[in-house]
Amino acid sequence: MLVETKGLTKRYGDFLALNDVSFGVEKGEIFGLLGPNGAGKTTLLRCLLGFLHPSAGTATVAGLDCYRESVSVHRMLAYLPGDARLFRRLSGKATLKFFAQMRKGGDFARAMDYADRLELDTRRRVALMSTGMRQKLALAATLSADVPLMILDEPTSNLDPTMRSTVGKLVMEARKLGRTVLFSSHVMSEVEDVCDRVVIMRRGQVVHTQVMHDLRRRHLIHAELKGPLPEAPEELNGQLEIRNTSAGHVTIETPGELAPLLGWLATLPLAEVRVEPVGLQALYDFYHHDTATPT
Amino acid sequence: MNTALWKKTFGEAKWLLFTLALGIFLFAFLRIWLVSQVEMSRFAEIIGQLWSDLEKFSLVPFSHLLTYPGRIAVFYNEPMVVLMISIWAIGRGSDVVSGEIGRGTMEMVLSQPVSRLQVMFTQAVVGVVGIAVLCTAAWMGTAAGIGTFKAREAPPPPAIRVPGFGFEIPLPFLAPADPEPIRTPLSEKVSPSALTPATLNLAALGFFLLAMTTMLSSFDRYRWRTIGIAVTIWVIMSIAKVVGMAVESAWWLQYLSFFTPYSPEWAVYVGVRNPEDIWALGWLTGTGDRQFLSPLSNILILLGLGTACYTIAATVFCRRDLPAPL
Repeated sequence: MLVETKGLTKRYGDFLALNDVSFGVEKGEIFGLLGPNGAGKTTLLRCLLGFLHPSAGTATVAGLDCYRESVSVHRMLAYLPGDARLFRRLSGKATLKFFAQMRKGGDFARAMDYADRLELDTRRRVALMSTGMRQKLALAATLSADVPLMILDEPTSNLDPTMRSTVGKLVMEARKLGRTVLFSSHVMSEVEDVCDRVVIMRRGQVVHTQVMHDLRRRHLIHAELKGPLPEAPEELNGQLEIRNTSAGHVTIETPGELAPLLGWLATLPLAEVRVEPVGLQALYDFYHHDTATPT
Repeated sequence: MNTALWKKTFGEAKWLLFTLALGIFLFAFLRIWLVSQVEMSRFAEIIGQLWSDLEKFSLVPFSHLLTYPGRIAVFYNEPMVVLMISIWAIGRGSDVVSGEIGRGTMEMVLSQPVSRLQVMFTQAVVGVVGIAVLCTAAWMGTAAGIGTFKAREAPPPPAIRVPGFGFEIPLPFLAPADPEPIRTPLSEKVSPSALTPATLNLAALGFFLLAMTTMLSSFDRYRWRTIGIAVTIWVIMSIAKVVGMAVESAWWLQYLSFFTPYSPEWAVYVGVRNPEDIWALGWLTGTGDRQFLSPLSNILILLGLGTACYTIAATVFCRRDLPAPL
């Protein structure tokens, strides 16, 4: 494990910001943190950065304690805060130069290359940049660091849809280079697109861990019934779950591959058949809106 | 050592430092010009009339104030000089932790491979170098003034020399009604080196104020609040010193004020009276047989208090949680 937390707890008086959080991130993985505001995502990331002293438990990066050995940990990671605040008196170029010089192996040319890809005017002073431009500048500084771990706290929150897509590509590129990316987001689609695994957080706790590959195979089939629904053949046991047959409507969930079911489905008295992936949104809604969800 | 961090910290401070250094240099230069413009006899008349009221506020005797080192040393107690040093110290000290946290840049800096102690050390060095630059500018301003201006003095009355006896008999009745003043270079009256103890005292005060504000900053997340608290303490300490000196029954108040060890006129007086006493520790006898701490003791008190403040600041900053920017 590159990143690991064990029983990580952060308490502010009576308020539990993080409650016994344990998870691990493998090398080369893109790991997502999902949850509404106040779920504890940013607190968790700040504990990993050693900005907060845990009330209990541990957080480590490559076996190094994030709080006590924060300088060594920071040599291994680059961090993009949710609301990147940069030095207002500096130009974009000077900002990138500053961050390139702050760590050994920093590469100003690479940072400028990322800035170009993000279509950023680096001649402008930070004080005169929009929130989105500042976010791009911070992204360029973060992505250009030659480190094994990147922690991105809502990296696309201030970006337009085109740039969100570019950031997704850059994150995928980072993985190709062998980097591990840990990022939090509110945007389900981008998490679905790029993450290998996600955890869903609620009130300071990890309430669910999802391997995205498994989720992508899960589908929901909605249809209108035109006759009685026969029993599923024995060979499909464990490959489907019939969940709702009320008012002439049926919903069938497939926890695995869809292909083996297609032949059987064709024999059923169904009309208006709709097939849709389960998706992260449904999973998220289950934990945060108590809606019905796939098992 | 992180070059980028040094450059950033100096870059943030340079304009304030340049402006204050220029201001303090020009003010010192102007102040010496003013000294050169007022004849000593006139000055003695003005101060003499007020002395009965001013005496309790003065650590030096009236006779010392009627010397050029004494008159020039008053420059170091000018509100403008103390204010300029305080602006630098409070301005820079408040920026160290609460300033960076308030602007949201602290987490960008601390997510880089630098320790919190390194960040504070860099800020402290820049702050202390700034104090040194300002004090040097103050000293150079006085030195430049001393080297440039000539003291305006009333000419001595006509006298005749008694042949064979080597003394003169003044003949004031022969003096003209409105004698033309004579001009003597100030450099013949006072050496800039006589002001060095006062300059060191000013630097020690600046160091303490810088460290105290850094300590307040290390607890806080809003720079405006740090500045507010520091300025309030500054005002209370000033009042404590003045009331302690003015009201006999409240004498003890002045020993609660960090402005009490700041006594540049006393430092210059001790240096003029007996240069060896400058480096003495403990108490020295001053005017009216009153006992005052030696100039070196005053400097060491301020430096010691400042070092204690920095130690607390570093301990608090290294252990505290860094809140997310608002």
